[in-house]
Amino acid sequence: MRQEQYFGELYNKRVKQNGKEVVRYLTRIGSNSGLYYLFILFLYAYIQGTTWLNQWVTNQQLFLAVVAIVLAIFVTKSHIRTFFTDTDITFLLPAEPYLRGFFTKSILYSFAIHALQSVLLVMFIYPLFLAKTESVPLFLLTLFAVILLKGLHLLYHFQYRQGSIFTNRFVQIIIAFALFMSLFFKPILFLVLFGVTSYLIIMKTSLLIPSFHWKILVEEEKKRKSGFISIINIFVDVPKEQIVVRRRAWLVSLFTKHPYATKSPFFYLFGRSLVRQGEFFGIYIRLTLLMYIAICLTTNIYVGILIVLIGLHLSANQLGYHVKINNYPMLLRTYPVTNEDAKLGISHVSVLMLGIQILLLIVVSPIAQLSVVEILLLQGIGICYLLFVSLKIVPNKVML
Amino acid sequence: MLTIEHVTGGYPPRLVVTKDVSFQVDPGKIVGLIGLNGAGKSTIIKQILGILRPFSGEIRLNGKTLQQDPVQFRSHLSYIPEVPQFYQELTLWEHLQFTALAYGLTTEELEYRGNDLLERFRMTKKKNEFPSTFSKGMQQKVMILCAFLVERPYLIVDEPFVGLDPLAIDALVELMKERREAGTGILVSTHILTMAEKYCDEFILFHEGMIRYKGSMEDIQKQSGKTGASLEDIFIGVVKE
Repeated sequence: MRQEQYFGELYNKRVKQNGKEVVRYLTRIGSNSGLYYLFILFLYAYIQGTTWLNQWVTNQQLFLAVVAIVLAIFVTKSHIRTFFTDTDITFLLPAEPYLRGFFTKSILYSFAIHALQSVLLVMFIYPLFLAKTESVPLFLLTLFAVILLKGLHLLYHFQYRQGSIFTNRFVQIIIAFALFMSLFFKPILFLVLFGVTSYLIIMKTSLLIPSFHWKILVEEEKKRKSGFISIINIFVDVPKEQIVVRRRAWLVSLFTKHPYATKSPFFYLFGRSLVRQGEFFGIYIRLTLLMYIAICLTTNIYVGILIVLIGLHLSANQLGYHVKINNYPMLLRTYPVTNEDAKLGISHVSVLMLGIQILLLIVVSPIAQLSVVEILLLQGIGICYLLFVSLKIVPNKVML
Repeated sequence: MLTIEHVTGGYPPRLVVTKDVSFQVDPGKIVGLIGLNGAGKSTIIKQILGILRPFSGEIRLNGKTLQQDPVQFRSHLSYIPEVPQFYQELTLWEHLQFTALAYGLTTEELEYRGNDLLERFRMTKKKNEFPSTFSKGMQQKVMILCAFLVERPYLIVDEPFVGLDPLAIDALVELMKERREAGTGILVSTHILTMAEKYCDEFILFHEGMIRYKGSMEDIQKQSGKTGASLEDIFIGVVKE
C-alpha cells in the first residue's frame, strides 16, 4: 500500500514537471511574432474552408458520413501519458505490482487531456454541423459520444492485446465509424452497440499492463515529445532532444554536388545534419509550402514581403538549432578546425537552403495573384535578407 | 617531441588532479600511461588535447604550446577517446570523410587508407551504416579508424581495448606498432598491464595525480627496487604503498 502511494505520487511529480516544461515552451513561443502570423493564416484558411464545404456538401447524409469518418479517425488515436522513459524499464518495471496508483492516475490524466481535445475538435466543426443538421441536441450527443468513445479506446489501448484483430487501427476505425453512423441515424442501435463495446472493454481491463507493452509506451512518449519539440522548434530554439536520423541519400546528394562540399568539413556536417535529422527537413518543407500558399492567397505586395521575411526567418531559426547540436562533441574539439571554419560552413548551408526557397518562389507566380514583377521584387528582398541572415545571424550561433 | 613540463591541473576552480607531472613522448616510441581509475590519466590527456587548461606548467609539441597556434598543434595530434563520440547523422564512411576534410587529406589518401583500415577492422560491410546502430566495440572501432586515418606524428589513445573483440585488439596493437615504426609517438592510457608490458617502450606509473616511476621496463624495475618484476607487480607495489 505504501509503495502504491509512493508511485502514485511519482506520477503527480511527472505531471507537474511536464506541465512546467510545456508552460515554459508555450511562454517562449508566445513571445514569437511568427506564431501570430501563422495563427491568422490558419484562421483565414479555416473560415475559407468552412464556407467552401458548406457550399459544396449539400447532402446532409453525406455530410454526416464525412463527420463520422473524421470522428472515427480521431477517437481511435489515443496515447496513454505515462511519461515513461527507457530508464523506467530498468527501475520501474520490477515494481510493476505496485504501479496500480501510477496507472490509474495516468489513465485519468490521459482521459482529461483527450476529453479536452475532443471538445476542441467538435467545437471546430460546430458551425458546419449546425448549418447542416440544425440540431443542437444531436451536436451535444455527438460531443458526449466522442468523449465516451475516446475513453473506451484509451482503456483498450492501455491493455494492448497483442495479436488481436481489434488492435488493428483500420478495424477500430470501422467499428467507431459504425457507432457514429448509428448515433446519427439509429440512436437506439448506438446505445446497444456502445453498451456491448463498453462491456467487452471494461470487463477485460485490469490496472496492470503486459510487460511487453512497456517498450511501446516508452516509444509513444518519445514520439510524442519529439513531435512537440519539432513544432516548438519552428518558433524557438529547443535544446537537443531524442534525434531521429533518416538516411535520405537522394537529398544528401544536394550537398555533395555543391562546390563547397569537398572544401569544408562543416558544410559537410551541417548539410547532412539538416537533411537527416527527421523532424527538421520536414519542418523546412512545410514552412516553404506554407510560405508559398500564403503568397498565392495574398493580393497585397506588402503582405507578400512580410510573408517571405517570416518564412525565411523561421527557416533560418532551424539552422541555428543544427549549429547548436553539432557544437560541442569532444572529438571535434581535438580536430585542427576553427570557429571561422564552422561559421563559413553554416553560412554556405544557409545560403543554399534559403536560396532554394527564394529561387522556387518563381514557380508560384502563374497561380499567385501577385504579378511576375512583384514576385521578382519579393525574390530580391528575400536575397537581401538571405545575405544578412547567412553572414551575420546564423554564423554567430557557432561557439566551438 | 611532445613534452609535458611540471603540469599541475584539474577541474576549475580548485580541484587539483595532476601534481607536477613531467614526461615526454618521443617520436617512434609507445609510452604507456598506467594508473588506477581516478589516478589522473584522462585528466592529463585532456590537458594535452587542450580540453582542460593546466593551472601551471606547460605542454609543448615540437617546442610550441597549444595557445601559440591551436590549429598547428592539433594538426600534429590524433586521438582515440575512451568513450566513443560520433555524429548520429553521419555514417561510418562519412565520419572518415569528415575527418579527412578536417585534416586536409586528399581523396586518394582517404580512399586508400580508409578502405585498408575498414578491411583490417572487418568493418567494410558496415561502412554505409550509422554508428548509432553499432555495438559499443564497433563504435570504438569508428574512433580508431578516424584516428589512424589521418596518420599524425603523435597519437593519444585513452583506454583503447575497452569493448574490443580479440581480433580488433590484435589489429589495433599491430597498427600501433606500424605507426611506431613510421615514427609516430604514441601515448596510451591503459589498465591492461600484461598487454602494455608487451608493446610499450616506456611507462609512466601514475598514482594519486603524481608520477611514481617512469622510463623503460628496466628503468622502472630499478626505480622500484624490484629487478625482474613484472609491470603488474611493480604497479601493485605502487598502489599498496
